[in-house]
Amino acid sequence: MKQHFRFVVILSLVYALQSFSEDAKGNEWGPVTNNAQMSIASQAAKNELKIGQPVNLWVRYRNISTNQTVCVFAVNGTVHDPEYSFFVMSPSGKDVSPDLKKWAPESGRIMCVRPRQVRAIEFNLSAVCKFDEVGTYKITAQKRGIWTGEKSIPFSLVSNPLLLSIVPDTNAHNVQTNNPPKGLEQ
Amino acid sequence: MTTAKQYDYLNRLTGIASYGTGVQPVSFAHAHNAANQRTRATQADGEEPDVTPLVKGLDHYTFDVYPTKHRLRITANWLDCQNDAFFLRPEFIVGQHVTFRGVWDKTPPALVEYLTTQKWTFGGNFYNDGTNEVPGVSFPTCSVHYFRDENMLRNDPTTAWWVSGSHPFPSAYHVTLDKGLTFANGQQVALNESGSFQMYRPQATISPWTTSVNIIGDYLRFAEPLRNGTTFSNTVSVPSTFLAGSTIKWAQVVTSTLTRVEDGTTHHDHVPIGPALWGDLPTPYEAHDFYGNPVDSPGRYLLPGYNRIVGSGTYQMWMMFEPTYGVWVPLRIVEWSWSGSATNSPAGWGLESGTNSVNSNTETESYPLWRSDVRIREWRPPL
Repeated sequence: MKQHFRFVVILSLVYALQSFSEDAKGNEWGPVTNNAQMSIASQAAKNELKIGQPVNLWVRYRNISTNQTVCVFAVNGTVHDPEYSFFVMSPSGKDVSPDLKKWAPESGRIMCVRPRQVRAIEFNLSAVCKFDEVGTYKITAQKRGIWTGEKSIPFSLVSNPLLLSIVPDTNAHNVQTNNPPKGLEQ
Repeated sequence: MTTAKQYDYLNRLTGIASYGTGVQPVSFAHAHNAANQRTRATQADGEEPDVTPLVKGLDHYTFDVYPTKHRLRITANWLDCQNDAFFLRPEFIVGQHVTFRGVWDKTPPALVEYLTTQKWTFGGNFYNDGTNEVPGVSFPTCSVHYFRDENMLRNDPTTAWWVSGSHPFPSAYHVTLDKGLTFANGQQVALNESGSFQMYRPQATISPWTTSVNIIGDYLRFAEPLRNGTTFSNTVSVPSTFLAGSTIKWAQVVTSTLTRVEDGTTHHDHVPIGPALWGDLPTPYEAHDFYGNPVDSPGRYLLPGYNRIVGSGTYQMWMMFEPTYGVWVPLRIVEWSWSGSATNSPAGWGLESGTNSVNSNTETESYPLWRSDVRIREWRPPL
């Protein structure tokens, strides 16, 4: 009985940790299309990054149907996928959206999201987009060429908007100003 | 037998050599110090020549000579390649950086270091250098051309890595070091040391399986709606001592690719701008299934407004092994291809034809070669 209790406690803890990690990834979703949804979330805590840090996103797909599989084609390398559109507005109001249509990848994989399942892929947005302003960026994503089950009729998904804060890197500032340490001033 | 003697300008014996038919050549060399004493004699191992110093005007003179042995040993990553017990000789795995050194147990005196020469020879298939396949372009946009630099084999130490080996029992490869020594007195000695080391190479299998060409979404694709076109199921067996930190990586090279749209009167091809062969970048290859097997489902976008599309590709999928602190090495190569065509009608796009094949699946010690990125293309003529 005691062992059984321990098992239940451990199981609850694992479940709680999983839920926490789900929350950490963000729980906002875009609109439902064909029983599927898309979400983007920053991997950074509190959606805040120091300037110069890589902007890694979780791009997640949720299948809310009970009986059909949703499929997404993910190119080799993920980022250079012309089927993605990222709309990125800089803090100063400039449109800094990356142009992914110039890429023509040869290869990739089919990622199937089964009923009631969520699948995520990592997306290094800073590989194709500069985040060199301090302030809050507004990001929205769209993915085309998604299909359901055997029907394979294509449709698009749009994500939730993501607000991402870029803050100054105080350590980097010290390096850039090249100030000599105290006591060594010339 | 003939004996040749050498004297210096004070008429002192400095060298003696005997040779002749059926006689093992023997030679000694002597050096003298300022007191006219023989200070060093180099001779064949086991010989004990008389090196009593001669002093003019004195019949009797006592002088002690203590000959010393200076043994040169070959080490690989500081492990002894000449251990009497073969099973204790060093073991490595392909791709691992192996640094060979000639190590003196006691450095001989009066060596003129800059005049010392050495030449290494190794068994097995190895490389010791690499350069970009295309000058001015770097990996991974182009591959690294690995080669054997003979000049580096004249360095001591020298580093190399192997692509050949075996498993479950390692291959034994010889190593020899020819060293030419020059002493301050001008005397030269040629040494030849030999030893061996053992090289493992992981044993790998690839079992590719394929589906068919279909129209999926708005693509002509080598895949089924729920399954990838080709899956490279595989197994790798790595000796347990080298398991930690070692990884399997994949690289795909596109040897031909065709994307052609037709509108009845003309056609347009979407061709890579760079020279063939093309890297299916990024490298290492990242498209894997849930089980970690590399997969591929190449496709061609069904461009609206055109009435036919033709797509095809031929590929080399390379399985690479990378040890801790080493260079990746090729294990296997699978060559495969697909082709398909679709036609557009008022009812929409329909599949016209589709084929695929796995053309070869072999073990290899050659590195993959590509010169540009397949993802950078243009339409010719422009759409």
